Amino acid sequence: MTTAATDRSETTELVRSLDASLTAILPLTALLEAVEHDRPLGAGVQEALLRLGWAGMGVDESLGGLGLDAEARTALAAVAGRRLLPAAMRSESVLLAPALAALAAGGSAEAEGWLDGLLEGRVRGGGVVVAAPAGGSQADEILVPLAPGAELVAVLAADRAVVVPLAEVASVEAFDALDRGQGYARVALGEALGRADRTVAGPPARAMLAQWRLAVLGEAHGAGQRALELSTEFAGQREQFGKAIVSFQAVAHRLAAMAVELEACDAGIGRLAAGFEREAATEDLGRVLLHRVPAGMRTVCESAIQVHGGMGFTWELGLHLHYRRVLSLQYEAGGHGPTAAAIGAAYLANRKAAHV
Amino acid sequence: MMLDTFPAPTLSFGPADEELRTRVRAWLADHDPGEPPDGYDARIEAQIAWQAQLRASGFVGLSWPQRYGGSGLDVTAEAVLAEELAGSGMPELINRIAVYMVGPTLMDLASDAQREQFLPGMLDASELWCQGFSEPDAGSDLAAVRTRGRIADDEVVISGQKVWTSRAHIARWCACLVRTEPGSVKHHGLSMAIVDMRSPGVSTTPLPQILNEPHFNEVFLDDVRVPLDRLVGGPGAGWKVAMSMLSYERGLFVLERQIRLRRRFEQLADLVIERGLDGDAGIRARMGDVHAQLEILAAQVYRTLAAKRAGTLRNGATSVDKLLMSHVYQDLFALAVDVLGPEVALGTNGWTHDLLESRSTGIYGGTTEIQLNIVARQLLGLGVSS
Repeated sequence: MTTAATDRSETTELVRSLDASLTAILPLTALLEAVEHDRPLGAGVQEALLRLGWAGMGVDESLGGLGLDAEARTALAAVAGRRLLPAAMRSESVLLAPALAALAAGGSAEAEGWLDGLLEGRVRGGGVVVAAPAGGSQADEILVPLAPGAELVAVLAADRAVVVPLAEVASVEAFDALDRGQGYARVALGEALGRADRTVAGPPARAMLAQWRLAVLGEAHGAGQRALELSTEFAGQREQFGKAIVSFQAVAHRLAAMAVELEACDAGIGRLAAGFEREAATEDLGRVLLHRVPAGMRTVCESAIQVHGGMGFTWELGLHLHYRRVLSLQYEAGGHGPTAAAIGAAYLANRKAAHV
Repeated sequence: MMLDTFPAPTLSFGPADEELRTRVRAWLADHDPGEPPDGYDARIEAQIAWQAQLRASGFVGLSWPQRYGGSGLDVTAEAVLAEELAGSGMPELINRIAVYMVGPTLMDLASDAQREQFLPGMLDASELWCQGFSEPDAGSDLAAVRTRGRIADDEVVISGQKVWTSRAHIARWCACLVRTEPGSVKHHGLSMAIVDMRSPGVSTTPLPQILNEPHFNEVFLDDVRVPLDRLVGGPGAGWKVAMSMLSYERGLFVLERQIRLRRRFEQLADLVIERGLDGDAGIRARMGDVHAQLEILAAQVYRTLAAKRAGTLRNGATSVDKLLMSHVYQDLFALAVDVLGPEVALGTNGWTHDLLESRSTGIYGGTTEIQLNIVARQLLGLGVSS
């Protein structure tokens, strides 16, 4: 993918505008209802979201997308995390749309038609990144958030992405997910992965993976940002023992620790995004961040609940929505879940190989 | 609001920086000072000679303005030097307090005469500096400084005691925080005096650290006479000057430190592999955690340097660098001692040395708790008691 650098002030304007729009489109009551009943957001909300043009975020301007650079896309992903944009829309924009765009650029009329439909909101779908199993074959069963009426799913493993029509898979079963209302489904792919004409390989697939990472990291960070904002606001207002609880050092230090984690992860994501633009070798940093950012934001969300005390544990306050999202992202970030042990193993293996 | 600035810009190097890197590498290859000599005093002498050599070759003061003897380059040039020195395991600048903290502060806040007198001797380490801030009753509560500076005509007469003063016994000058306004409290009425450590009335006593090394000292000041024109920024500007100095403490220092930590981590990894411990899931997890911390710290440092360069560094932001650095410093050496077995854990060696030393990182330059206060107050804008 080639994109011109997006001007920072332009990004800031986009971010603010999107944040304001999503705040209006996604009120807490609607989000809570979706989770409580495990159903998608209402048709009116879906339409309003589609009008934002989100699906075009990861697509070149020449193909009808927004033509944003990696930093701008990451900034927008954070807004998605702050305001809890439906999870399927993330994969539609950073997996499905770029995969279709790559296939269309390669001459696939079928993909071009699907891409047009996706960008116009007529075709919906989802996508997932899976770790390639040892032996190199693709996973044949996936857990994936699907948009209402989804017809397509993009599956990305290692350096290969395949677009699969859901009509051709072996089975699709609803899955009772922690982050309910996101359309999570268990999809048995069967033989559907075998179509070479629906496969993207090499650099475009690797770019999609890099973009996916930034989107997941940005979204997790956004959820953490919001959790901290809500917590600082609450701690400044809530009084106990005759004064605002923020004046107690134990509370202030907890908030500061949340801020430190957010700042540190921000720095890491910024460096990764900058590396993406320069096509620098960022594999190691990417692996580290896929572990550290969702894990860190999980801690931030847990601290947010703690700072809010009993209120933080209530359904109606909605802090659990960000917590649920981050917990899901912690898994989705790496398919089988990157862990500190996996990072350590990779580091030691690289070190060993370098000596050999 | 973080929303407007996310993701944070990072530092990138240009062709001129890479050209400098090539020159520095070539120079270092020809000037490797080898293993440090035995004995503390001999090591100090070697470090002074090392900085003088670097200076003679034009590698100290890269970002200082040319009128003060520097090269007038970007902060990225300093980052290149720090990376190359630390990355090749070469000694650090012994006078880094002067080069990276006091010097830049004097450039910002001192008079022309003070700059002309004090800046030249910093770069070649011909005049070492120490920082006279902490006192027995003013540690984390720096504003509780009691050392008095009585202004009499054109002099300040200083009496009091400083403590934990690194390298005071070999320093020529001390940036000394004193209370010059009688009856003032907290951060009001303080001044930053430049004290000649050879003046009558100055005495130092070594205060061995937990490593039993004479790194820092107690400094006693008994009616020490300092010309009035050696108060930086004039009488009463002490707190502002001290805060400026502390803000300069991080950045390049942390960059250099994280690279040295990375080298130690590589050494640890090699030992883990050599001893066949790399298949152990628990060790992998802890190695992974420390590796992640080092990567994050590097990203944070480059982000700080980028912000400094762009003039967008927020108040309190460098406390994040300090907190991340002290955390990984302590975790790295705890990990090493935990996994390398009794030969290491029970011995006096580099790993146990560094584990003991790591405890200082959560204390010097503002304790972990003070850094969290700074983050709460300055980055988050919260009202919190200090």
